[in-house]
Order: sequence, then C-alpha cells, then structure tokens
Amino acid sequence: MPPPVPLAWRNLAHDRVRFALFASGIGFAVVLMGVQYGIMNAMLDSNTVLIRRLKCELILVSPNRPSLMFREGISRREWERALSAPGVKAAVPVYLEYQSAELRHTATDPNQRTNTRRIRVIGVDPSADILDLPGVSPKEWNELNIPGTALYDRKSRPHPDQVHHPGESVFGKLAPGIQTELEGREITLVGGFDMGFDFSNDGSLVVSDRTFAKWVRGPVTAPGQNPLADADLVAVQLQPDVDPRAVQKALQTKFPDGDVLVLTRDEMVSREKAFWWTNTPIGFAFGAGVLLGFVVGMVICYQILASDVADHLPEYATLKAVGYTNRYLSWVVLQESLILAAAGFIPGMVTTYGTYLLLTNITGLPMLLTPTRFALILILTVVMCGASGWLAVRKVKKVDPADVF
Amino acid sequence: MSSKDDLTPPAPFPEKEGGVREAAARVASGGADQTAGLRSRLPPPGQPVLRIRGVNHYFGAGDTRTQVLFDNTLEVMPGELVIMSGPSGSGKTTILTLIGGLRTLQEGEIEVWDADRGGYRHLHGVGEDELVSVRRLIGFIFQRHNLFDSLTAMQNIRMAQRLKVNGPADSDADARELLTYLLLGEKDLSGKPQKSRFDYKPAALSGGQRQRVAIARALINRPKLVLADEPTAALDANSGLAVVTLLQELARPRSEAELGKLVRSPEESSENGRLADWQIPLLKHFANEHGTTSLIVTHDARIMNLADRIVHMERGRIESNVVVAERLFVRAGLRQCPAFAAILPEEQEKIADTVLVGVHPDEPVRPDQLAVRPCCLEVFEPGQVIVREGDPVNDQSKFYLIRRGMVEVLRETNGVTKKLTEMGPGRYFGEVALLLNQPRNATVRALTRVEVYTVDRETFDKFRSVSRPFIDRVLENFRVFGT
Repeated sequence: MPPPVPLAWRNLAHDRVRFALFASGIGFAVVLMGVQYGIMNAMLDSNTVLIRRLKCELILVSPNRPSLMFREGISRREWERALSAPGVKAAVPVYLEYQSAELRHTATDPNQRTNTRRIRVIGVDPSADILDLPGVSPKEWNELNIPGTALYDRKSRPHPDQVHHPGESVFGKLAPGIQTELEGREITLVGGFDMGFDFSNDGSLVVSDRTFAKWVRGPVTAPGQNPLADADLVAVQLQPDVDPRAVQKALQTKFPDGDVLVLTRDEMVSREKAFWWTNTPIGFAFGAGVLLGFVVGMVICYQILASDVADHLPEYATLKAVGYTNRYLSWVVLQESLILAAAGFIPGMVTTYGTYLLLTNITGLPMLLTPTRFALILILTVVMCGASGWLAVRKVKKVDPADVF
Repeated sequence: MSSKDDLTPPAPFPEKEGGVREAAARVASGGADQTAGLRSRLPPPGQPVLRIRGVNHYFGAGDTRTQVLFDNTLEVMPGELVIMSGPSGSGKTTILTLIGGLRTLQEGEIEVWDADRGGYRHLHGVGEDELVSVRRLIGFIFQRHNLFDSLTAMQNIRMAQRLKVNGPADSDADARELLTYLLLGEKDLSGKPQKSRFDYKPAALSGGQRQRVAIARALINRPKLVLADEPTAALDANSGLAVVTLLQELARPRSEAELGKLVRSPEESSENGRLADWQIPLLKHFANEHGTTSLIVTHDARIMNLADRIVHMERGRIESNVVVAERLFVRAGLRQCPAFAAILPEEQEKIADTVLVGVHPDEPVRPDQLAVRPCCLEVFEPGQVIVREGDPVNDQSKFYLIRRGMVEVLRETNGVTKKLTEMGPGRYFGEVALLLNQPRNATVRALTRVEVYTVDRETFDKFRSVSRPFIDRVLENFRVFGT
C-alpha cells in the first residue's frame, strides 16, 4: 500500500495566495473572538483586581454583599471568631468605601482646582502586609501610618482631556507629596501603586485603618460608635501546610447563623465576576461579540470549504467513482476545516495577543491571556471550523459519481 | 443434383481475429500453463464477465419521468474489447454508469464478476457500500481527465493505488513504470532522455499528458473491467497506440513478434502511430495479469478496428450486438457460397447480420443464449439428421452454415448409403434445393454436437429478389452445370 496522499492539505496549499487569504479570513474571526472575549475578561478582571491583590487564602464576606461596591459589613464580634479556628494565622479586616468618598482639590487658584469625583478608599492596617501593592516601598507603607496620608493609584482613570491635562487623572495631578482633599479634609499622597479603574470606580486610594476611620467612616458614624466596628472584608491568612478547604469548612461552622460567608479567594473572584456578568450587559455585549466572531468565522470557513467542493466537483465525483467512500471524502473536508482552523488560529492568536498588549497600554484594562482563555479560543476556533466542515460534508456527500462521464 | 457446392473448401479464418481469439480462449478456459494461476480470477468457461439483463432506466420523477433505457440485455466475455457506438443521447453513457455502480439500478439486473471473490456482484437493490465495492473492481477512464490540480501525477495515481488491498510491493515503481510506458517517463519514443513528468501537477501537463495520467490511474490496479468514454480523444497517434496496445495486452497476452510489428519507423506508422522497442518489455512487465474486459464509448476508428464486439445503441435500446469474429466468420462462409457470392456485398452483410447470435464462433452457444435467438441457430446432437435426402422444399426449408462441429454428407445410390464427405466449421449446405426448388439431394447428419446458422426460405428469397439479375445468371450456370 503506497503512503497516504495528504489530499486535504494539498487542496488547500495548492494555491499559496488563496490559502493565505483563507487563513487570514479565519484569523480575522479568531481576532474578533479573541479581542471581544479579552475585553469581556478584562472588564470582569478589573472588578476583581482588589480581591486578587489580597494576600490571603480565605475571605470572609457578608452573604448580603453581592458585590464589593455595596456596603454590608461583618461586625468585629463576628469575624474575630475566625481567629480561634485551627490553622488560621491571622484575620485582617479590610475596609472599603465605594459610595461616599470624594476626592477634590480646592485651591485658591481656580486653575489648580479639580472636579469633585468619587474615589474608592481601601483601608488596611499598613503593618498587616495584607495588600499586595507592587511598587510601594516599605518606607511608603510606613508613612501611611501617619494619619492623613494615602497611597494613590497611578492607573486611575486618565483625564479625558489629555491635551490640556497631560498625564493627569480625572482626580487631577496625582504624585507623591501632592496635597488634596478627601471628604473635605486635607490628605497627602505619599506613594503610588498600579491597580486600575473599573466600572464601579475611577481609581483607588489606600489608607491606613486609622485614617479610614477618621476621614471616611467617622463623619457617617453616630457619636460614640466605633467607626471600624464593621469590616467590609476580612482576609484570613492561614498557617503554612494546612488545607485551605478544610479550614474553610471548619470556619464556616463558626458562623452557624449564615451571616458570614467563608470563601476562598478564587471563589470570591468568581462570585464578584458572576455579579457583574449577570447584573450588567458586559456578558451579553461581549458574549454577542464573541458569538459574532464565531458566526463570521463559520461563514468564512464554510464558504472556503463549499467552494473547494464546488471547484473540485469532477475530482470528488471521480474519487467516488473509483471507489472512495463518503466517509473518506467527509474526512477530507473535515481535515481541511481543521487545517484552516490551525492556519487561522496561529496568526489570529498572535494578532489577538498584540491587541491585548496594545489595549492594556491604551486603556489600562488588564487584558490577560491565561492558558484557560487561550484554550477556550482554540476550542471555539476548532468548533467553528469543524461545524462549517460538517455543513460542507453534506455537499460532498451529494456529489454524484455519475457526473464524471 | 451434385453436392459439389457443399464441398467448397472451408472459409479461411480472418487471421487477426482468430489468432487473438485463440489466446483469449486459452485464458478463459484456464488451460494454458502460465494462466493456471489466474483461473480463479476469471468466470467459469463460457460465462461472461459482465451480464446485463432487462435493464430499464428512467430519469426524473413524476410527470417529467422519462425512460432512457429500454430492456437492455448484454453479455460481455472476459478479455473482450467492446465498443459502444450510437448517437449521443442513445444511452451509452447511462448504461456505463449503471454498470460501474455510479447510479442506482432501477429495473433489471447487472452482474459484474468479482475476480478476487470468485463470484458475481449483483447491482440490483444493493446499498451504497456494495456499489462502492463494485466501483473498486472497475477502471474508469473519463473523457475529462478529472485529475486533482493540487496533486502530482504520481500522487493522483497513488489515490487509486490506495484502494487496492494487495497491490505490488513497490507501488511507486509500478506507477513509474506505467507512466514511462505511456511516454511520461525519462525516455521519449525514440529513446532520448527527457524530463520525466512524474512529479508534475496537471497544470504543467498538456491535455494528452493529463489524459495519459488519468488512464494510468484507471489501469494501475489492473482492473478486470475497464469502462472508458473516448479514452483516446486527446491523444496523439503514438500514445493512443500505446494505450490501446496496453488495453489489448491486459485482455490477453500477445507474442513479442506480434507486438514487434507495432515497432516501426515514423514513415511506416502514418496516423496509426508506433511503439518503441523499449516499450515492449515494460508492457509485458506491467500487463502481468490478463482477462481484462474493456467497454469503450468511442468514435476513434483506430480502436473501432480492434473491437471484439460492437454494441450499437439507438434511443435507449441495444440495436445490435455483434461479435466481430462471428460476423467475419459468417460473412466469409456466405461469400464462399455462389448463391450469395453473386449478390451485392452489402446484401451479403445484411443476411450475415440477421443470423448472428453474439457469441464468438470458438465458444459453444449456451441454451439460454439459444433461447434468445431461436430463429438463427440450431443445435444438433451427434447422429441427428439435419437434412434428409429427398425431403421436399417448403417454406420451412433452410440454408445452413456450420458454426461448430462436424457433419457427414450421405447419399443413397441404389439402396446403398454412401458417405460423400465430412464438413466442419465455415462450410455450408442446403442452398441448391432452395435455389432450384427441388427436394434435398443428400442427407446431412451430425457427427459431433453441431451448431449451424440457418437462413430461412423467406430471407433467402427476399435477397434473391433484390439481386434477381445476378441470381438468375447463377441459376443459369447451375442449370447448365446440373444437366
């Protein structure tokens, strides 16, 4: 038996220019899917950056807090129970303010004034080392202990008018040493970190828990009450070599009333993403974008395969006439679709990755290509081409071998 | 009345057909030494390689349903070169597609011999899988070459080789050899080196070269049945001859000497083409199996002349099915008879064609074949009397031409029966009584199983009336001679 003839490959590669066009057609669909999917993920990712920056294994959150942006805390009495659970090294409260904290600069010089904008304020104990903020030096962390100091987000939403306000954020100029006002009281920026904005906030300030109590929560707390009585999140750090799942289970039993949810950090991320996915059009809009790319790719791929069958009708009829089965011909067409998938995926994915870098650079959205996402686009591409191959197979099955005479 | 005319020496056989046919018979019967191994691959002696019975076919459905084939019946014997002729639209191609399993058979039955299996494959009411198996038995040569543009010549051929289960060990060498024979290798006809076309894609080949690649693809698996539609249309004389010679060699082996006649100088070859002496060993080496039957739709006179059987179709019907050797045999036999020798050659041929049964004169006629055409052929067992001396001539009286077997001619003189002579194939008797309207002048008795063609009185008289002036002159001779 002679060696097999790679008919599918030969048919496609016969005309190099056409093949390049085919590949770019499929590649275009891959880019469409990849970029839409990437933006969708970036949006969801951006809303969960904070959670992923927490240096902890488990997180306590109120079950009535569907998303970080809503205010629903856990009282100190509740969360301190976690400390007694075996395997727990530390439980660190994290205070968040999404709604009422406003940052503005009131200067006598009108040119120095900035708009009043809402800002997210994150309050942590600077010595607890609970927040991973690359670029923030221990000295800056230390300076945070002084009341009235804050770390600012270098990736805050940029000012829309970059011509007149180059390099400025919507909060105005942000740099170490800048003095501005948080909730009408002076605050000094001592350092910057990279985090990024999202749907619910334009940027973040990180302050010490004490500054947080005084500047942010104090004004809205009844006199005599502890402004830090409720933690927004509690980051639970575990001792080395303990199984987080087991501790999670044990911890959950500490809250029999069900008023505290014990989640792993990944679960917390998923929970936050699920909120944005179901409560905003992100999922729909970008899901539709991915679907669009999928459909476009399928149409392109089907066109290529169908025209291949149509162009080679006498040849396929001949193959049938000499005794090739429908199964063989179907396999040839499917092979062609898989080759197209591969030929489109590789350049398509390279372009997609380039676009990710570009968009991240331009918009500050964290566009990440994780292995899972890579695999998903690969699977979508293969399914896309496979499905159009399957449709084109029906055409080749209909080829009448009697047409050869 | 003298029986002198009955003693005319037997007609000489047409040399080419007879010689070739003998070899075929050897192959078919499996008797010859070198063909013993092939015995199982061919149908039993006397059985066809292809049998078509009562095939009707319709195109369209409902109101537009039109019948395109009408009750077609045909048998093709192993090793025959069959030419299908007829105007376009007469159903030739449709019948080829039905035989090849390319269409679903609607009515009737087609049986194709499967050499590997040693049995017939039936085409009526079978599924796609069975049709695919039938297609693999057949070498198709299409008018359009239908090669894959994206594949080289070798790869196109390999597509066919992939379907053969027990192909040659070195399939590439096999394909190269065949392409070289077809003048696509490293040698041109005169033996000069040329660039081989093995790895050329169709776009880089001329029309004739593509067609030869397509032919190589069809024949590489040495199919036992070849269906071809104008296979030589695009070919020049020399490659056309190479193709036809290959088809003939696959049908039955020929001696080197015979093939050597095709090796000639360009001046001698004219439009018939020529072979090179280096092609002969390649041909012999490639055509290592025989008994291939070819059904060819063609208008190419070069092939028509080589046909063993010519099937003519008109309006969806097989109008005539002539075994060329039988036609020549009958014509030669009639020509020997003065009664027919006198009439115009066309009239002779018409009479000859009315008696043909479509079986080679070397093959005995099977009862079922006899039943199809009862008028024209009679079979007698040893000892049976065919014509009795003194029997009066009437409307049922006939003229006889011996097809097979031996008869003896007896005459009674004074109560003593005397054997005048014995006669064998190609000899005739019974014309004198019909011409002169006299009782039979001798008894003819079968010595062996005898097959005779018969021309009935009506036909005999019809042609006699057409050619009356000639006949009368002949009769005059008879009278003068007889008295």
